[in-house]
Amino acid sequence: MRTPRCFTALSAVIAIAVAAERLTAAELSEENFADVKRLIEPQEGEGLWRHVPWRTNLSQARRQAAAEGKPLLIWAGGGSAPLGGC
Amino acid sequence: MWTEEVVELVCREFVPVAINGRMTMGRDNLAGKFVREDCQLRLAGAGGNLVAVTAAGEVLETNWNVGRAWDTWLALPAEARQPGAVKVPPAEDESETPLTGRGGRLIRVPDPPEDALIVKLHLRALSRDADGLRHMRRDDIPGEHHMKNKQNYYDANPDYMWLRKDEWMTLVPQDPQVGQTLDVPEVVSERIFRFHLNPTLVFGETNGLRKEDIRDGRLTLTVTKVTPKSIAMRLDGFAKLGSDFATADAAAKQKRTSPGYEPQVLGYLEYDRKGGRFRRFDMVALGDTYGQLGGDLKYLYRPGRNPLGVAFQIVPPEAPIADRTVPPRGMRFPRNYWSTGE
Repeated sequence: MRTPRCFTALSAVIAIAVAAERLTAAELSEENFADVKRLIEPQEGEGLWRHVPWRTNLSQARRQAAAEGKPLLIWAGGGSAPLGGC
Repeated sequence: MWTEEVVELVCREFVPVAINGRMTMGRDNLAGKFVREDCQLRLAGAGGNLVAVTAAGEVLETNWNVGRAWDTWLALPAEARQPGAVKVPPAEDESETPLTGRGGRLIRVPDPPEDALIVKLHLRALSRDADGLRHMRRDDIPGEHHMKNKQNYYDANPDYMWLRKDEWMTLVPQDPQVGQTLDVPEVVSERIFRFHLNPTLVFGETNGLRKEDIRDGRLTLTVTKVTPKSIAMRLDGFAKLGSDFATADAAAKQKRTSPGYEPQVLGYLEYDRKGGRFRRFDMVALGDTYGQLGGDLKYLYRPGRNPLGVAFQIVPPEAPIADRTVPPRGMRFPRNYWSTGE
């Protein structure tokens, strides 16, 4: 089971600032590809719900909850499961 | 609400499940009946729900408060919380059970096709200042509106891209030579442009762009390395999607919706010749977006041109089940999604 690593706001700010410094031209290139990609992707400490091992089948989850004696936590979205946005 | 403590509590004590609320509610199967009849819940559409229930259908919490849900669970009699205390009916054909939708149409949550290439992507609203690119901040959006306070608009917003085997195989050169170039076939480039570079996806749900919204665009692969085991390729390209800037800007000044996006695209792909599948699909689209988005997203309007980034990365076979099964957001109408290149 993945659990979130400790998040410090300061480290995230520093990471973003460093990335931004390298991206002055704002043009995508072989040299800045990795930095741009990192800037776009989730940062450490952002969207911690991503670290929850979400199941996607309600009945299977319900059977697991019954077998393990645990409550079910249901996250429901509109146009799609929340894991796909919305 | 997703603090470290909440996430740890969920991971340790709950069975978490993420579903399409509307589709689950509407199904005439075990899951649909559980939500409607046992739990007596009405899951909302847009906006979402976070609810906690027992396997027997007793509602513990409906208002996004995981801590309170846990307290309510602990207050239940010990025998009700024992493993095996609740008997759940045996499995039926669940994931494939269709439901009757509007006009009697059969709707179901699509599953990825066999041997599909699944790519996870994140969209991020960016800003540009004297130091370069950075994440969009609340004060980048003029005016005051409660929409500005939702953290998810500032986070990376996820999506998934699905390519059928017959589609992704078009990216594999038959007789690869270093330096060889090939255009990415329309079936794939149009899929990327219309359904995954739609600027509305950065903040919300949407259908895909229309074919005519692709004003221009081209993706090209260049073979960079060939070995008996693999083929490495670089992907270059650009797209001009939706309205041009002048049209979008004029529309926005009249409070009308007419967004556009003009990204440059760069990527690195690696095909495993022995395994018969892609091992790498790293791609980035970066460019300016402009214009006003539709619905409530108009409150997030930023004048002028603003950078928008989209990062793609392959989902490996061992990825969590959610990454392998949550459909692309542009697949609200699967026939449209699969029709690219026609």
